[in-house]
Amino acid sequence: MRVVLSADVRDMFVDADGTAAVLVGSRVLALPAVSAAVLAAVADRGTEGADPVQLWAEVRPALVDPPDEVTGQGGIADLIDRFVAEGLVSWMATE
Amino acid sequence: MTESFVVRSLERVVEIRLRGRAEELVDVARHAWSRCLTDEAPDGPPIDVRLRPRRPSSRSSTHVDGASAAAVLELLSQAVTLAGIEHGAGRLLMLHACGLADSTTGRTIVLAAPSGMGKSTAAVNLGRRWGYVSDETVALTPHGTVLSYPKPLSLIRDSRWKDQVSPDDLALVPSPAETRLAAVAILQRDPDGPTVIERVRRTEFVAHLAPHTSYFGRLAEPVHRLAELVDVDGGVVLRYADSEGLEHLVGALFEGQP
Repeated sequence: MRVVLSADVRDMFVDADGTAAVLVGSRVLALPAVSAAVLAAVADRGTEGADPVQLWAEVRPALVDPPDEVTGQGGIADLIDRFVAEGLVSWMATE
Repeated sequence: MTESFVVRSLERVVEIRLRGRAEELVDVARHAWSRCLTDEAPDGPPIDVRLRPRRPSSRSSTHVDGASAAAVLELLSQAVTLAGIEHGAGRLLMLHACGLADSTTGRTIVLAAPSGMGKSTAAVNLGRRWGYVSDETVALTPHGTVLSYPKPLSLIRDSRWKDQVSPDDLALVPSPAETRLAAVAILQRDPDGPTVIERVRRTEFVAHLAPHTSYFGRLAEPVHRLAELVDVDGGVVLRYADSEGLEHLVGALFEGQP
């Protein structure tokens, strides 16, 4: 399974501190820096989608002070679950 | 018989046509809209206004049916505002906000808040010191110009309908001819809380401010457009207990503090 950015995500502003504001549907959500980096990485993959297992390894080097609680696959899975609940991403089946 | 007059609502020029019994209200309505009257030619459909005592009240951007004079005047205010924001959809960034301008420089402070959180009260109290831009809707062009919309102030009295009061009757300072954004702030009134200016991280402020907009999703890159209004050090939340405290905070904003 891979995750893809939801078509409901219409605009994303990433500030200099790494945090983001995202328009999803008719709501604007504020995202902390780690969430913003992960979502941006998903967005960069386009319709190809992103493998959750690879996401953290990809995002971590770009963060100044990555939090320990998101170091593992479980942390990323929780983050993706929250993204799905907020309508930011969706799962895409792979062969 | 029809009486009519023309007003400017943001970038729209709207003809208001009072029909039948509603024509008796023309002098009252025209006076309430004194600061928005214009000689420009209407550029869209008129608003047809009727007073019909035995029918339910309703309104759109092209019609008002009111069961009483008070209903007609409040619904007319809503209809004119609606005509303006529908016209500005996709181009103007429109905030549910009170606007106050420095009469000399045109620098404008925009105070956003949901209905019932004190926008009109702030306009009444602070509009005697700074230029009255609007008590309800402040629109910004893509170039950063603030569009004045000095509509009648909608004030709660005793009846079901809010009174529509001309800013002239409240001795509010006229808005300067050219107005530009100085700062946008969110109002938080708490009678038991402190009076203080708080800074909120820019992205969080944008998320808080977005619900106080009209036709936000019709703009190109709307989140970026909103973020451009906010200082890189964060957005401003004005927490205040009473109008005296709010005046102090707004004064500090005009002076560039904090």
